[in-house]
Amino acid sequence: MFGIVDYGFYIPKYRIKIEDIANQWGKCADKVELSLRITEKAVAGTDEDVLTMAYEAASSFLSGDTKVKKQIGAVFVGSETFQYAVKPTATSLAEWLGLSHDYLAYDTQFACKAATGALISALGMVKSGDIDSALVCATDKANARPKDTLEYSAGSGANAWLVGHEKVIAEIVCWHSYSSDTPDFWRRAKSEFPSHAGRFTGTPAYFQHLGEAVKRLLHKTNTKPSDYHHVVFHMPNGSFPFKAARQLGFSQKQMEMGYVVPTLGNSYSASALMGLVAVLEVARPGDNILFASYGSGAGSDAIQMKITKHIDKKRKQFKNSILAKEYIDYATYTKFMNMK
Amino acid sequence: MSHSPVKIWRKQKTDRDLLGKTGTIISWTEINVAPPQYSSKTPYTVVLVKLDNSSNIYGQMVDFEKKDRKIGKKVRSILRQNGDVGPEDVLEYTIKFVPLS
Amino acid sequence: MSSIVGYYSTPFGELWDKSLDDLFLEAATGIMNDLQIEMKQIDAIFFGNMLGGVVEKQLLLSAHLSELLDVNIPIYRAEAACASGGMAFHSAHEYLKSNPNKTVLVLGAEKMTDITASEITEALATAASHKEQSVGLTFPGVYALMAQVYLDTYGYSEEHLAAISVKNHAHGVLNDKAHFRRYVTIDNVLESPYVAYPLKVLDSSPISDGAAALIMTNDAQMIQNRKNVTILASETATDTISIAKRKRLDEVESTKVAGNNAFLKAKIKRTAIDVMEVHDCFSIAEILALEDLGFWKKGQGGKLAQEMVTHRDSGNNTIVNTSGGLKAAGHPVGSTGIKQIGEIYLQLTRQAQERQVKNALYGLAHNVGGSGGVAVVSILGI
Repeated sequence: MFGIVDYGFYIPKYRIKIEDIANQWGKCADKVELSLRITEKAVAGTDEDVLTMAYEAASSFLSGDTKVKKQIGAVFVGSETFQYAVKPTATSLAEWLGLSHDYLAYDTQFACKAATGALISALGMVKSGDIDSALVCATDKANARPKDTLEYSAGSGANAWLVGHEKVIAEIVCWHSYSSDTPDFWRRAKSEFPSHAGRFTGTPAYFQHLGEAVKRLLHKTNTKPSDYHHVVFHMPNGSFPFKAARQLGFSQKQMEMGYVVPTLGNSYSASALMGLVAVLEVARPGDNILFASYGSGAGSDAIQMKITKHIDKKRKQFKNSILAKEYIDYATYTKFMNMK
Repeated sequence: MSHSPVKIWRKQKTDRDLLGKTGTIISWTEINVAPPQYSSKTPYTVVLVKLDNSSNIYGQMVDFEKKDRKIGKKVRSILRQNGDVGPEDVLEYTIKFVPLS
Repeated sequence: MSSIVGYYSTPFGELWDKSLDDLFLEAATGIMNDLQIEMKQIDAIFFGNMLGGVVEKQLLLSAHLSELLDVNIPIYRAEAACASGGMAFHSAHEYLKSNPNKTVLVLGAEKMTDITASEITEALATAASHKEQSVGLTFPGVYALMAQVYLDTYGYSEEHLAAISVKNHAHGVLNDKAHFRRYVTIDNVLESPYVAYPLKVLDSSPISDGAAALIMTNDAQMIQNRKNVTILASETATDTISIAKRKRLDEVESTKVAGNNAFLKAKIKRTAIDVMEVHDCFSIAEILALEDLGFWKKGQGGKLAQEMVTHRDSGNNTIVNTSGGLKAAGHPVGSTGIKQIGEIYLQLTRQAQERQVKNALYGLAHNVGGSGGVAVVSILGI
């Protein structure tokens, strides 16, 4: 059996309310909250970045265990807010964690699905027997152009996943990835902020790719929507995932546990996976999970997982731990985001 | 003078061994006038910590409430960015402290 | 025995039109003219300067002096951060102990105001350890950590520290070379902005330019007919660069060691000291100095500072920092140690004008480098 063996997450303690951002720009806060279905988002502090957050997420479950650390044969980090265009964050992460020097490392970018693609690759390497286990991290300190709609949702967060074959807690049963060249959202190499094509990010982008990936996975696995106990879709805002669910035949109840965006915002590459973290807190052995990420540019990774009996020993408290928070104002937000 | 990547690389090795440790605050101060590397971060707090079963080390303290910033408070070490560097420089990371809840 | 036969100081302050070379030249020619001595009578030069390399990007300052003074004699640099001047004096004294019939020129100069506050903060932090610098702990920050422990251990507050600044400013009013010649009150100090909590702007010595010079000799002919004082002792001691490595944060070991050795050497009691120049880079430093030199009991400093027992108007026997200390006279780093010796020289030779302490026979100068990494304690007598 192959799949997720252990995991961890990190959400910075700072939050900014959507109404404070709206008031900054003279927008009607109620209308913004209603259309995006987000009330507040998490923001990393001034001295936090994708590396420090990935470290927090990974070290939360990898701290003492030298044997497990030394068996990690691959380290992949997915983000869209790397500090370097050239210099891997994966090796820095491995060094700070104290892993061995015998591992394959690379950083990946594919907008919000940067890490899930790496998760699938890692799975392949473990399945083939080339490596014993792999560490895959999703981490983002997402930024947005001031006053742009994205500013309401772009948030910070990280999660880390150990993919292996021993005492698997969530078996990766099957996956399907649907990709095409669709320019809905992008960031040029030397630009500070991402850009997007407005309403084009909807039907031809998110809904097309996520929809097709899910449909083709269901077909492949010969399953139907009602077979799944929990469903996690990427959450660029609070309304897209429910609309996709309706289109594909999933119920709101199935989406409930993984729906974390209203109070955390969209942590980009860590976003959908954060929904998975929320689900793993409550999922029971035998549960079928349908997971689908979406990355602009564009593509979607749909994955069928099955929870095993080992989940009870490894599940992490999520819902209560994110209640410890501190609100900041817009001026502090710009300082934390190191905006010039 | 620009930041030496070699010095950063060498320091990382010793800093790593200080991660995930707990200790007690021996003294603290809040810096308002800082050298260029830290100017954008003022005011920031620096603590001198007696690590449990080990020596005294310095670090900035972050993510705390004022009531936590006192002699005798227990803290733990985490990984954070160390100040600002130039746009072409290698980034520097170091250990900082947060209160032990 | 060696003697000091002359002293000269430039004003201390923001000397915009003077470069480091200008300051060295002014102090050297100033003292030579005052004493009517020619360069050919000088056998060697000892000088103190901290930031030449860091701020001025100039090392080999000995060659600068050779050029400025047109000499080829031996020139020695002492660098011990804020004790550079004291170490220059100490080194000159050691030289004279082993070389009879010699006369030396001792200089201290510092140029600090050509750069921004942030840059000078970074430059001065080179006197702190790597570990201290790499967490953004500035030099005031290091002393602040010590102040916090002192205040917490002995139950004092910022008001006790403020008393030191009030006293030194009052003394500085009478010093025509001082950077600041104005009175400050306890409230002024308490209301000044924090530099590194709990130390505020008015707890901290300023950023100053300036230079000072001494002529020291063991040549009887040079001493003849000149106002002179005898150097009874000059001792130096060291301690860790990082305060994290010290046994205690409420005392400076190097001061204790150098002080004890100086009194043993000079063979006089502490009660004999009439005037002292101690190193008040921050208000807390003067309190620690008086305790570490053995004049005040450990932990009594805050109370005694508040009572102004070392103020010139106190009627007590040992008056501290008649020059205004580092706080009011200013602290061009490499010059301070020289100025301290000079002030004692003026007091003992009755040349201190309005600052004159009556019947001063013995004086002590205490110069510290960094947070106590180096201390120089010198005792002079007449």
